[in-house]
Order: sequence, then structure tokens, then C-alpha cells
Amino acid sequence: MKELVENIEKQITTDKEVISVLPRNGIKAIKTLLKTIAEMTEKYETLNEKLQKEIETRYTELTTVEENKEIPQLEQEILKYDMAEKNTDTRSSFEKMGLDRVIYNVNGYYKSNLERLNKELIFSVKQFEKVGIKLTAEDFCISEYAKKYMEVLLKEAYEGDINSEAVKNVFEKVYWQCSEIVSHLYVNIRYIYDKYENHIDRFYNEKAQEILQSLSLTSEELEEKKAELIKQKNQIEETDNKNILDKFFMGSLNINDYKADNYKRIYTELTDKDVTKLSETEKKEIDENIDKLNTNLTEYAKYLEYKFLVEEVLQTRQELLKNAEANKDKKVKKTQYELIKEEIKKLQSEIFKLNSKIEKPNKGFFERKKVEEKKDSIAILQRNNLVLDLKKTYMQLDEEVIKQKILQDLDETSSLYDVIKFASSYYGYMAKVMIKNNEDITDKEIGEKAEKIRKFVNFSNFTVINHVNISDTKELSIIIKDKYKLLGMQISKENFEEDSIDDLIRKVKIINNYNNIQKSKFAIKDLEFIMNVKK
Amino acid sequence: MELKNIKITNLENDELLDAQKQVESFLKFLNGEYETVKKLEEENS
Repeated sequence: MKELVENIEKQITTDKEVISVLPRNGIKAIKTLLKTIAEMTEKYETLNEKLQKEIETRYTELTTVEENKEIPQLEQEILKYDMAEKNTDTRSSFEKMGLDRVIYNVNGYYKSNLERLNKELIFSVKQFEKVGIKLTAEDFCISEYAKKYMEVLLKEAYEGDINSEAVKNVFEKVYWQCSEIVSHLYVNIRYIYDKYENHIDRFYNEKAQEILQSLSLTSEELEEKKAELIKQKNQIEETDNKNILDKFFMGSLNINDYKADNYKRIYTELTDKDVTKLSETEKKEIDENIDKLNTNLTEYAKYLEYKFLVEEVLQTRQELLKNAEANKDKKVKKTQYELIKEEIKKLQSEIFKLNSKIEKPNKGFFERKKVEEKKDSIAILQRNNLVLDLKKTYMQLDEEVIKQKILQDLDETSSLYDVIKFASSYYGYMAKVMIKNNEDITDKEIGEKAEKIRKFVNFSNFTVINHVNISDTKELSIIIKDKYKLLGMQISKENFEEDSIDDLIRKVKIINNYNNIQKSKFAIKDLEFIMNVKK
Repeated sequence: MELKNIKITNLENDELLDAQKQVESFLKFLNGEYETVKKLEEENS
């Protein structure tokens, strides 16, 4: 077809010559020349319009692609199994309800954002409702401040505006009477959970049984089923036309990386083979290994981002084991956890004893101040101090629970995946480790990172970190490198060094994506055309 | 071959873009020439 383009080129050259040789002296000659140019322009404009129309037709034809219908179906299935897993896994009901995130945020947000605080408070109320506990302001009985604030917040939430003027006003008023109002709310949520803990545990146990029965699966089978669905979805997505096109459109793939020469060069670099000289069987085998390497490297790169969490858990575990060894002969009647639990019960009881002494407001909230000043100020002061003590004790309890769980849930046979999953289950703990890792991190960034970590843990098809035990002394990068070296890939320890790993990942991705594009409806030249037109 | 007889549907994708590039460039040239000659016409009238 090159001939057709050459014909256009020839015609352009001829027409250019015609214009250059036509005389320009004298008004008659000029008018003739103008007429010739105008006629030529019209002719080429017509051609240009035809070309444009043909380009648009082909562009539309190529880019009109629909996502494989299996993808959203699989996504739905995955979400179904994920929800089932979240309701049946070994986390405590507190984490299942998402209260770990709520209490972390309630403890921190008020300093910067009342709207977020309100959102978390209402979220917790809704979570209790989901487990069959309908909360009212009466449940926020840790203090008259908590109750008054929740009275207005719940009323406004019912009317659909948790950030109304009424909420802002009551916060302002309550805050000046008790600047620790948020601590009171924090303690109150925890108290409500303690009060209904048995009921909530029963709810989740029954729900877990019901879910597993309805799916006819055990917890392990459920986890495997979800992993299998994620794997299926990833495989379909890799060769899905829409997915491929979107990646080019959004800029995550660059068409220049997919030129045949670049592909051949990288292929040789990674495999030491000339791709053009491989038999179909040889290429298929190598491509399968590249696909696996790509999956492993993607997982490895993500893992590196969150490795600090694993390291912290493992370091804490070592310290705990050392302490346990040092204290193994000491006889203790009660564990630290039991002592803290007792302390919490004691503080709660003292708070409610004092609350019963503090006179209830009969004439409305704003007249209460007078009563407080006269009779109850000492009792209120004592009670407020106890609320703060209770908050501190709850925070100690959280630390103790983590320690206990680290020893209970993790042993030498646990995998790196088990550790990261463990850490991601406890929002407050994750946040604490993130702050230790980067003290400038904001609450918002913690929230975003925590979400990413949980997404990584819950929606990945793990092939590496779930096979490597915490007792394994070999570095993860070496384990991956050794495997693919055996399969003939040209990768070395240096490729996994900090300043080289991104380049290795990029190259493996290019080869793998190129191979996947070959399985889609697109040829590389189609994509080149699309991207050129899009420019 | 006459331009109107060129079957552009027979062009490959890259040739189509190439052809359009050539044509657009020539149209630009024609436009420039027209402006120049038009000025010449004004000067001569």
C-alpha cells in the first residue's frame, strides 16, 4: 500500500512545482495563480476531510471496546467472599465492627476536624445497629457531656445533617464545659462495646456459622476460593481490551516502550535469547516464566512498601519471647491483660458511682451549670479524672492485646503474609507503626495508607510472601532471584538492589504486557495509531 | 493517479496518518502561498 502514499506525495510535489513555475508578474497572471491555488486548496481539503473521516472511523472502531463481562461478575463474587471472610476470620468482634479505626480516629480527629469526628461517631452507632444494638443518647452515659452531645448529633443524623449548626453549637457549648468531651466519647464507645461484647461475639459466631454453612465451605476453603477468584480476575484483566486501552489512555503504559525493537532488546536482556529465533514451544515456556516473574515482582514491590510493618511485628515478637523466657520461672496469678481488664471494670464502676451522685439536670442543660457549681463540682472533677484514667487504661489494653495476639497468632511456621495480615487487622497498631516509621505522617495519610495495606492484603493473589516463613533466613529477593535464575532468566542480586529493582520490574512488565497485548484484539500498530490520533 | 481516485480505505493505519500529515503540511503551504500572492495582487492593483 506504500504506493498510494507515494502517489499522494508525487501529486503534492507536482502541484508544488506548478505553483512555483506559474508567472507572478502582471495582475492577470496573479489572478490565474490565485485561482489555481484556490482550486488546489479545495482539492486537498476534500482529500483531507476524507482522510480525517477515515481516521475517525478507524479510531472509533478500534477504541469501541467493552470490558469483559466476566470481570464485574468476578469482582462481585470476590466482594461476596471477602465479606464472608471478614465475618468469619479470627479477628475479634471489635475489629470486625471496624471500631479499631473508629476509636483511633475519635482519639485524634477532634484536634483537626469536627466533621470527621461526627462521621466516625455515627459510623460506630450504625455498626452497633448492624449487630442488633440500637443505640440512643441514653447509652452515652459516661458523662452528661457525652450524652448531651450525642442527643443532638443523633437527632441531626436522623434528619440527615451531622454537621448542622445545632451540632456545631452543642459541641461549642459542651467543649467549654468539658474540654475532654472527645475523650469521654472515646471511653463511652469502648464502654458500650464492653457492655455488649458477649452479645456481639454471639452475633458474629452465629453469622460465621450461617455464612460457612450457606457456602458449604470451611474458613480455609473460603480463603482459597477468594484467592482463586482474584487470580482468575487478574488473568482476564491482563488481556482485556478495555483494560489495556485504559492503561495507555491513563498513561500507565507508554506506547514507545512497546516498539518491536525495544521488546526484542529487553527480551534478550532478560532471557539471553533472540525472541525471533525461538520456537513456539520455547517462547510459550519462557513467556509463562516471565508472567510468573512479573506477578512475583509486583507482589515483592508492594511488600517492600509495607515491610516496615512486618519488621516491627517480628521485632516485638522477639522481645516478647525473650521476656517470656526470662520470666518463665516466675509464678504469676494473673496476666497483665487480666489485670488491665480488672482495672477497667473498677474504673467503670467508680465512674458510674460518681455519676449517680451527680444530680441529673431537671431544668434543661443550660441551667445545669448552676447545679454543678453548687453541689456536684467535686464529684464531676473526680469523675472526669477517672474518665481520663479509663481512656489511658483502654489504650494500655490495646497494647496488651497486640502483645498477646502476637504470641498467640504467630509462630515459627507463620508466613510473611500471616504477619502483614495480622498487622493490618489492628488499625491503631498499624497507625502507631506508621508514625514510628514516619513521624510526619498525617492522620489522613495514615487512613489512606491503611486502606492500601488492607486492599493489598485482602485483594491480592499471593504467590511469594505466603510461602516464606518468618523463620526463613534467606532474603526474599534472593529467593525470587534463585528461582528464576534456575529457569534461565538473566537476573542477579544486583537487579534487586534499591536503585535497580524498579528498572527490573519495568522491563519484566513491558515484556509481559507486550505478550498480553498479542492476546488481545490489538496489534501494537493499532495502539500506535490510537495514541497518535489521540495526540 | 488523480487524488480523487485514491482509495484511502486501502491505506494502512500508519500510512493514513502519514498521508494526512503530508496533506496538512501542503495545505499550510498553499495557505501561505495564497496570502503571499494576495499581497502581490494588492500591490499591483
